[in-house]
Amino acid sequence: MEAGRSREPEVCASCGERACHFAEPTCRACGAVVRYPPNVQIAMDAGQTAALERRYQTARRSAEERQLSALFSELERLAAAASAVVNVGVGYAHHFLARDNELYAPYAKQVQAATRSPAAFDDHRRRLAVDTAIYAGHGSEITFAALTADDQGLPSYGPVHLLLKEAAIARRASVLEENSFTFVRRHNVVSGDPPPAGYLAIWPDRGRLAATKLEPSLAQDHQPEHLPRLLLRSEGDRGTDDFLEVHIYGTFNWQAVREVRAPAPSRLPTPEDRTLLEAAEVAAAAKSVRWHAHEHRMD
Amino acid sequence: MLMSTAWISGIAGQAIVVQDVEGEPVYLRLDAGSATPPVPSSSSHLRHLLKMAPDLEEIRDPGPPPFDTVSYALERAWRQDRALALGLTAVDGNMPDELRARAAAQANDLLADAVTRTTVRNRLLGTPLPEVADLSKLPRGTTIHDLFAEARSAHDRVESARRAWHTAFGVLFSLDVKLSSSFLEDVVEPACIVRGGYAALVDAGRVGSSRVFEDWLYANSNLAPFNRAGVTVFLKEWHAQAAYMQDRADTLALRALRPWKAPKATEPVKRLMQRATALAVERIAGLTRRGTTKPEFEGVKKHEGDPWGYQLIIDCFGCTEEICSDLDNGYEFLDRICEFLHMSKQTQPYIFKTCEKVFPGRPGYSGWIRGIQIHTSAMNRFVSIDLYSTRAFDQSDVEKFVIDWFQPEVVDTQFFYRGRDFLRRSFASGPHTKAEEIPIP
Repeated sequence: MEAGRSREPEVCASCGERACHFAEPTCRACGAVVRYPPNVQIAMDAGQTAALERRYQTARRSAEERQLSALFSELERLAAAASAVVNVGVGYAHHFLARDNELYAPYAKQVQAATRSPAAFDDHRRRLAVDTAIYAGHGSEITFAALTADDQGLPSYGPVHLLLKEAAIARRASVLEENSFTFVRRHNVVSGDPPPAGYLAIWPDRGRLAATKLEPSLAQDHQPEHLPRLLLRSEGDRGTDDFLEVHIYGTFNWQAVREVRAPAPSRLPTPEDRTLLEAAEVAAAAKSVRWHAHEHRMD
Repeated sequence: MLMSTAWISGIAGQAIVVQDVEGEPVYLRLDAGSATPPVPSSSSHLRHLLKMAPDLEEIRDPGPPPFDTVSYALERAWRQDRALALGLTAVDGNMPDELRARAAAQANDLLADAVTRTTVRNRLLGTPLPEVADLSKLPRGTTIHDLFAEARSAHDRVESARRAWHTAFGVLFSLDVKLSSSFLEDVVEPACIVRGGYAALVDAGRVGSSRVFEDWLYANSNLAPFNRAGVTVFLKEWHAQAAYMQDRADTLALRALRPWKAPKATEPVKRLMQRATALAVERIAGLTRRGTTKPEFEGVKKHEGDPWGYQLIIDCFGCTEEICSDLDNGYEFLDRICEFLHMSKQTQPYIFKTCEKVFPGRPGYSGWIRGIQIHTSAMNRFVSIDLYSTRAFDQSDVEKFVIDWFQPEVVDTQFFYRGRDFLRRSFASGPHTKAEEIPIP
């Protein structure tokens, strides 16, 4: 079954019981995986896919009228092959790579070692729960990443880029047209109401969603090499970052990482972080995770 | 109206302050080690921090910019995280030596701060230090060495505390407080580790009194509603765990010697029992009193004219009183000298504080492991060490090892061959060869 393309069976293939609990990815009777995760199910909803298709066709026609069809197609092709990237700081990169059991986890599971009161935590969690506005009760299970076509992430979130393996996320990822905070604000999404359709895609449709979003930004003088910068723009400032947001259901560990891109240790401000970055690189090598030293492009 | 709040993460090296400005949240970011004033941030940044950082700390109502309280807390959290991360790098045998040495030096610098030192100690005593931790790159006499050496020597006590904690956790809390079990496990227990609950337990085990831990519990009752009955149950459980582990160690060590001799067991069953027993013994290797039975015979070739063994007696004068009283240091010495001499330990070191009743006002300790003994007298600033091994060793290397460890002002040594020419002078019945393999004590 192609990831995210078809509806799940109504009957659990493992135990034969009807898997009747909407959005739950596992069978309550036997625990077997019977459905795509809730975020993917929402992106697969007929209303969502039809609305996205309408927006896509409109964008394609617009590109044709502006004689930008080739560039539009190239953008779609590029985005359809794009990866998910998560940016983290040096301390966390070391923490994540040097320990075998560390998960990159949604905060619902990351309250450990805190000395805060749960009530205050919940206040902020609710206020920040734009993911809940999109995914209802499943929002807290979502981990966020950005879509990248040239393996560059968002350095405003940290200098270390963790590029994820497609196989690790394809079945459980959905893609939103923009940062979910901006999206919720722009469309006045209120928790409990369905978000506007056509801005959310399953992973295999990320190319169509990206082309739809970025078609107005295409120009005659654009060259193909400009396209990755359209897909993800970052000047190191979160306020101006522009990207497609990847929503991954659940968490992942180092085995989901295809490659790490990090600055040379000498570029870091403290000697302690230089040492930890070197240690993270050694740990990555021991786990056969590719490591690539790079300087981030500034848009 | 939102309450102004700061979220701090040492791992991220960042803090986000959320302020209420005319009913709208305004986000500001502080970076560890940066002298620049807070910079604008965003809600997505806070979400990223909440999702990613496992060490979040919250300060409510942090006051006006430039948020001195937050800056201080951030700097402290950053130092604690980096000191621990660098320390763990320094004891990671898979890391290059140069990197480990550098990490140890940097960690030690960060540990000069007493608060950092305490928190790192709390964290180290919160989880049993892995057996694979290699302390050889930690310079002796440094804080980082002392902390890890303590964590290693306290391994069993930490494990005992952890088991007791997990077994008796629920009863520590008032029954009328609705706290989920995941909150207890995911929040309260780690917080207890960070605040020194486990370290207090370990200290209680060391001094043989639960008072230290009880004091900690009541001092931290704001963390969670501990109740007196719960504490009593917990302490009972803790003592039971300690006794259980010792008993289990004895039982398994005995079984290790016997199972395959069971007359009715079939061969496959015997093999299975052997394997299972070996695994069990391996798991409790740090606890066995009588030691493991090694499956492979270790020996050393002796040739005609060789002595049976070698004995070095080292008297160390002018050691500090602290060194002469430091049981953990003595334990670590016995543990490490075996490795240095390539001796199989067979047991854990045994170490005992000099009895206060028999020798009042004369602190010190005695300890031994296999053929090695140590006795100290703090009042006389004296350490005496006897080393006996059938494997030849370099006398000067061992002297250097001892001097580095105990830092004496004067050393006096005596060296003996034991069982000289034993092959020729042996009274053993039956023929013997010129080269004979004997077990290494």
